[in-house]
Amino acid sequence: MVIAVELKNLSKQYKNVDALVDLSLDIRQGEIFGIIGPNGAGKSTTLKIVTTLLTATSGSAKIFGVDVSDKDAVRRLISYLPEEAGAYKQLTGREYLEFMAGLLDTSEGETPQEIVDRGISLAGLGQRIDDRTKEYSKGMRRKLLIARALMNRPKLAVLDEPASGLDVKHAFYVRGIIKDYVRNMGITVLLSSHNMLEVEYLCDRVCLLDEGRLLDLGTPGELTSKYSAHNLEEVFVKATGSMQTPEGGV
Amino acid sequence: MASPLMRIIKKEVLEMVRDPRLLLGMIIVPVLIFPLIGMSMSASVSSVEDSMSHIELGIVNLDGGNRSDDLISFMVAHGITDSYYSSADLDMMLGGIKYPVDLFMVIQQNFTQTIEANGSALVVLYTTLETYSISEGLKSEGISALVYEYRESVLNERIAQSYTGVDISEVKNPVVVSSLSVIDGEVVANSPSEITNQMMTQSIMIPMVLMILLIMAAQLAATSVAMEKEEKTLETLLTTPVPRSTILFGKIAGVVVISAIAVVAYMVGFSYYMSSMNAISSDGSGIDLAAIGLAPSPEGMVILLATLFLSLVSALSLSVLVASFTEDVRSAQSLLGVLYVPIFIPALVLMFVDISQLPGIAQGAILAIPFTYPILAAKAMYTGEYTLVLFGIVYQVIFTAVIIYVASRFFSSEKILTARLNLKRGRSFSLRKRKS
Repeated sequence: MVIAVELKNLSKQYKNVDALVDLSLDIRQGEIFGIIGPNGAGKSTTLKIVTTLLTATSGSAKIFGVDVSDKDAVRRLISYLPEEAGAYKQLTGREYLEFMAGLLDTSEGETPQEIVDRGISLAGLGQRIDDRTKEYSKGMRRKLLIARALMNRPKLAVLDEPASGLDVKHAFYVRGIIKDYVRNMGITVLLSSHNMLEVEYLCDRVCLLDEGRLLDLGTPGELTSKYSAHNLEEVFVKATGSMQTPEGGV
Repeated sequence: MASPLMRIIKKEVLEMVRDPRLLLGMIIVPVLIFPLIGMSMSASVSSVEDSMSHIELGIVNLDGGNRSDDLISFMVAHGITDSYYSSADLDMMLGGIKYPVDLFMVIQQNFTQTIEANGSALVVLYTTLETYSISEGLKSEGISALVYEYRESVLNERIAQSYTGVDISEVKNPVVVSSLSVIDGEVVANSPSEITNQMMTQSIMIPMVLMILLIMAAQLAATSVAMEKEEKTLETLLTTPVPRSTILFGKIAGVVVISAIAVVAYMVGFSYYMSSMNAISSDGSGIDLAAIGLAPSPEGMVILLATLFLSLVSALSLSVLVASFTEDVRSAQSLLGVLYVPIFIPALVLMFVDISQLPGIAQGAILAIPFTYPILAAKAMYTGEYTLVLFGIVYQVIFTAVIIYVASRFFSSEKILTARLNLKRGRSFSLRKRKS
């Protein structure tokens, strides 16, 4: 079994705030792995350390055996979709994909054009691919961005809230790509989401984060069974041991 | 296949060129605004000149002697339209009644008698200000000038009566000043102020215009970075296997390309403006600096361009660095205001004094600003004194290299995503990190 992501005692501090505390977990190759947790749980911090955007205060993170401190090597293995990301407004969808494909490592023999063609197909925007992205709806933009993140078949795709804020139609499309395309291509996915039902639907395994700490980890089935819950939402509530909102309300 | 650097430059240029606000602000407006200013000023001056050629003068002649008749004839001979009113009309005019004249000229009683007695006769001009436009003032000035011209003829008459057989102009000018300029040991027939005014127009105005361009380019670069941060496209870009320095250089180079196009736009617009201004100036194009040995040399132009290019790159690097500390476009543009001061101070100070005339500390402060050197180079282009400018180029190269290095280091660290300059209630800047 190949380990795609290996986090060991990973911690991140911002001044006196512990964003991540001693996080250790493994993600297997080809797995869709979800991180769930409330705002400030450390989800985005974890993803940003994995994608080399942030440096851990202590501990280690390896992507297919490559330490994240070897940033150039890691960046050749990964693809990252930030939460609420935009595309360049004055470029068309096609130009955006062409631009991003031109920056990727194509040492595996694929030409940028082949990557772009796959991206166009994945985006499913039809003729609108030649419109400027400023004319896209949020859903269309997200489809373009998810296509960009997956078009070069990265070894690890890191998706931060991939379907957040989308209407049913677009969210269904995005989840479909993650569920089917990624699985068929054998791409490992690390995603974060507030939407526990989405994670339950998409992910092979999930971990629960709260206040930077790992609460639990397992398949959705294992977790619901362990906590005698109907779904991951209930699992999370039981795992954190509180029905309270972060502000103290119920 | 294009390199990542070329792809980033192309993307930057495409994004900027397709942005209608940018296209309008940096290219279309400069091409149009200067000719429009020139044309509107030309039209205004023509309009004033036109109105000056049709002055309706209401004359109240309280004298009735031959001298007042002479004065009126003199006016009419110079194209002034005359109409005659009584002292009662004058009183009504002064009481607020409007008359169809531009101004009243009141020739006082005993005008002729006073002149004949070698005294000072009085003419009073009344202009009712209604629009407060320049032409209202100029009409009064025009009539005054004609009265003074008439006075000259009376004066010449008096001198001719008193001094026979002498040159009247010599009698009137017992001392004459001839202000000449010496340039490289050659005496030039123009006064220093004539030459410096002309040089200021040619050697300072152009860099001033380019300073405005520099600010716009800096805004462009800052907006580009801030937009990437606001839209989170920067995060995506930073996770690609492209060196961070390539991303930084790509951004700067993209703005340099657009700025080069904008420079051409500015130059085209400015040359139209200058030609319009020259066309409306009374003495044509002024002094021909080339004819008095003050032509800009080719090497001077090369040096000026080098200083401008280095100023542009250092300003862009600084603005990219400044924008890296902000979260959105609005904050970036606000924070960028800090850069405007060092960009404009040298241009404003050196417009009026030479660097050598400043106190030591002020000299050091001005020379420490890298944007000083295009101004010095513009002057040196005429004077041939390049020593300070060449030193400046070396300094600019070092300054720019340091800024690019700092910006590059900044881009390579996580601070590009986490550092924020926070303006605390307008008192001070503080650096804090954002929890992601």
